[in-house]
Amino acid sequence: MVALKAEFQRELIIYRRYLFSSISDLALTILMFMGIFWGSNSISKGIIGRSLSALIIGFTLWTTIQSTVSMLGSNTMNNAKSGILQQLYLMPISSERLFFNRSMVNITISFGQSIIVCLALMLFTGQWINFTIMVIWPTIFSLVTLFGLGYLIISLVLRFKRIGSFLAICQYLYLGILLTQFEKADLLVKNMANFLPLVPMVSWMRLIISGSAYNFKYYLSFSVFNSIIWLLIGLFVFEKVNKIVKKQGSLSFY
Amino acid sequence: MLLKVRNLSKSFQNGTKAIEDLSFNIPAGKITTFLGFNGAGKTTSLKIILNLLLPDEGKIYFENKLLKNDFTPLLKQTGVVLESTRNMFYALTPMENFIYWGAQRGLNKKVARKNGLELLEKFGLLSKKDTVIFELSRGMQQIIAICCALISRPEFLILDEPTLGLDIEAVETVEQILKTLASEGVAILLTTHELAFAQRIADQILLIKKGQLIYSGSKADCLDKFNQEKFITVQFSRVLSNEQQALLESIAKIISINNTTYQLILSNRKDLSHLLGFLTQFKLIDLKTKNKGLKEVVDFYMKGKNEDGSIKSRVSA
Repeated sequence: MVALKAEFQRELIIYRRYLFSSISDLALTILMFMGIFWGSNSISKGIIGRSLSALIIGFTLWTTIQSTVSMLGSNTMNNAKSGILQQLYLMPISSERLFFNRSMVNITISFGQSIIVCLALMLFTGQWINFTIMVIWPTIFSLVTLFGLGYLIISLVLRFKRIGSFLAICQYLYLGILLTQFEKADLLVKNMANFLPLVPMVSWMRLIISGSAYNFKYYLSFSVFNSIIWLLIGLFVFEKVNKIVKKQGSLSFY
Repeated sequence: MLLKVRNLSKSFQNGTKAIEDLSFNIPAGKITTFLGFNGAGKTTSLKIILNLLLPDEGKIYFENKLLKNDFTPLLKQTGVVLESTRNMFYALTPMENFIYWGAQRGLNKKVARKNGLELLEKFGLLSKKDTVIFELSRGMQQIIAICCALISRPEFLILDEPTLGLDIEAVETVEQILKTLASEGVAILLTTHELAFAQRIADQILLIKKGQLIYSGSKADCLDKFNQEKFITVQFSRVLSNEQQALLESIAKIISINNTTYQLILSNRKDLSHLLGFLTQFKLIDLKTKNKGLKEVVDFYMKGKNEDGSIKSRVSA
């Protein structure tokens, strides 16, 4: 717990110390959405407005994932480059625990940022989304999947070191996944898509917010399955990569 | 013994044998210096001890307990400063680093602050506690890195090239810090290329060449062995006669440097008073004695060089 608290404090100190950069990042995210919103509106003459809530939810989730996973990846890359990663591996806490703490901090901070982004988007678009308490379920399962994705990205950094371009590709893949409304697709496509990270939770969230009817058991079971499977995949790959890296002694290579 | 390393071997995928059958001990309260050329296997050995690298074979015992998959007992009691890497967050201040790294070792904020302040005071950097690491000099950064490694008051400190890139003053400070820590009972294992620094600081030396340990023992014993022969350079006020030279040669081996200067090599130190008695009958301009240091030891073992710089035909321990 002390280690987790210290990780939080470190991140907050950096945010405070580089406040201008932190605010600019938020402003850029909001501007990006507004660009998509105004651009789409002028081309499709308001068609997008009908699914604006879905767009806001999708975009907010995308910023959460983007800042969690990409930030985790780029932070780990920077730590590998500077040598901090080796020093972190010399701490008596396990590497799984270490990266769990880091993911936890990243997810919490990203979540906080996303709430600000979401509020700003609702303010600028005038589309106020009615969040109900039920949203908490898909949110929790999404966070579990994010931990799994975090371990996967860290594993890629540890194994391949320079994955900056891959992280950029991932951002667009998430965007595609999150903005596609799989809940409206054919049953086969919908079922298949539920295996993709976060899809059942995002669909469930959109259905809750739009007030549409949905099968609770269906989304709950797929969300549980999706979160557990991606967490296990993440941990399994991380364990394997850790062994390879220690065998090759490539932890400090960059 | 705090740490025992037994029969450690490691080869890399490309077939390079990094270290072979390495065995040594690290005692508490002593400074052990790992000496060897680049690529000799010093850092590889350290990384294996620290579980950053898996060995092909070998065992590591910490406080007489065999470490298998779980290196927590060793890591809990070991502070490490690695070479050419950032061992701390440069965007944070020393105090923020102490709190962070202390927490990773299970210390709460209060204890980490207290320990950190004590360390800064001890090493004369208290005024820098709130300065971002980026703004400190290279020497100060290295001292703060050592402080970070010491934040949980470990029993064992590992330093990879701690004086690399430091100026003379900073090297002296690091030297003092390490000597103080050793006197307080901390076991220190360090690697260095600076033989003068090693000569001053080491209690024990480990000489490694191409992955093989070629000497392991106390520095005093090692130098004693090398200084069995005494080298004395004498400058006489005039040229010695053949008779005088012959008499001198009956006590020591002599090498003429110029007409009036000779290098005398005593194979047994017991003959020293005999020689000095003989020299009293001459008027001397100068007399110098020279002890062999770690440089000569390393030259002998690593390069196979004799005192006069000639290459030894065979290197033996």
